[in-house]
Amino acid sequence: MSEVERERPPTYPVDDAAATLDLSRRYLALAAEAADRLLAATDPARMVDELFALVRAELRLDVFFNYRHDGGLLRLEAYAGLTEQQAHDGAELRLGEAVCGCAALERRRIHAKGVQRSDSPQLAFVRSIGLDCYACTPLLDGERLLGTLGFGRRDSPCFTAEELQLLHTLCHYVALAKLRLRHEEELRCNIAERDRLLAELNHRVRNNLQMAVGVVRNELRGVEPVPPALTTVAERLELIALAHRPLYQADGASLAVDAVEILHGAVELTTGGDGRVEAAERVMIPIEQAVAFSLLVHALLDRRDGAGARVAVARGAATLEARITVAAEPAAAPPLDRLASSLLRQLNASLYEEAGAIHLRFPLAHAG
Amino acid sequence: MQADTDTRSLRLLVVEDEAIIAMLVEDALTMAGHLVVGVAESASEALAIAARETIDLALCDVRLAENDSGLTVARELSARGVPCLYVSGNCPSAADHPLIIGCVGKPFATAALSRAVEAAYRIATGARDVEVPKSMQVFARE
Repeated sequence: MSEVERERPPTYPVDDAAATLDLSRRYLALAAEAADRLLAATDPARMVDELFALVRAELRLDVFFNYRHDGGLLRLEAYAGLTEQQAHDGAELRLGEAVCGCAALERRRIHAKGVQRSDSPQLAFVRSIGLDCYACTPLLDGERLLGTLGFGRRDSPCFTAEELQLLHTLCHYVALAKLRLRHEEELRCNIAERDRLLAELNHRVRNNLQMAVGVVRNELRGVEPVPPALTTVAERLELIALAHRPLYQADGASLAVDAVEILHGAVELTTGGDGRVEAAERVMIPIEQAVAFSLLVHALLDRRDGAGARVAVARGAATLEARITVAAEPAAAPPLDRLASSLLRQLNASLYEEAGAIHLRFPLAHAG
Repeated sequence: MQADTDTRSLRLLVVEDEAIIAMLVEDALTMAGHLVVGVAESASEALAIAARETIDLALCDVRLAENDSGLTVARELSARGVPCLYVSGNCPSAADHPLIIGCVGKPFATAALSRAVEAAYRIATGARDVEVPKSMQVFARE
């Protein structure tokens, strides 16, 4: 196919240096404007439409074809200067078929000249739509084929070297812009997929904790006398579930939860809604200490008449202090069972009585 | 345990697709002196029960079986005059009907559930300054 040539380096006529300089400046300005628009583009098809509108007058272009590589085929993604029937006829190309199919298969730029005088079967399509010259550039990411971009003209048999250089530069920009958009789309999909997974995990964990409580409570149904051990298990499971609830609302930056919200659960369980949690402000606590803290407060309230219980909580520089009082009598620390002793040790907490109240203090993890 | 003295025994509908959680909710509310007139796991079941029973309040999970949405169920029920309270791990932040009172977040404390239900019913029937459990969010009402 003699009409189809590889690109050659640009040449400039020596006797028209001023005109060439002017042309170069105009082309440079066009390239800069195109780069500017492509950098801001958000739609892969529309950005090529806009690019064509920008350069068509200067380069006397009549048509463009933008194919997307998809599963071994080239699919027409954007075009201009074609009738609907012509676009339909060229909607899909196999690699190696017609000019753009060859450019895609061989990963090389093709400049088809004198098309109307040619009888090459590979030029049949561009000839049928009246083009006399056509330049097609593969859009590549390294060796990966993204698609092709071709420009054609009806009223001249070839592009100049300068025109070809500008078209190829623009195609290179388009490839980069398409790659950026593709990466952004992949990133959006990955984030959406991760968010869906996280939401599902979140839902499952919440439901499963609630179901664990339900399973135990179901065993208690209709049983007389109610086995105290099973009641305690149900309550502790609820506390574990409640202690994790604020985590679902926590921001991703810190895995800390609100100790006040956690305490509401412990007080609710032991006082039937008659207790109170007092705090001047939110007291954030690392999630790994939240469950132990909640279970320990529950254990301290559990063995007494919890009605009217108050738990005041405050944070020091690196410690958390809870002050527990009950209405019925001056609060005294009850004898600790095995679980409470273990939790006290886990939190590295101190427990003492003072002025009719129980004081629980422990260092906050990661508090420095 | 009996229902709160200023709330009569309520006729409740539980819309929840997890059987164990539905049982937990039913038991907690029954023990508090209320009557669960039906448990539905999908929108169609919920609306069918609502068509044949008198319901004081419906408790709706947000995600239901058969890809149904508890939001739609609550919207349909509230349009029929049935007050609704969401019980969900993903509480909506607002509702588009004044009879959709609020939401109890999962996991919930079973002891607080009946108080949330009673508070929601009082709000739905026009009471003001109703005390609600900490675990219950009340939607803004105009």
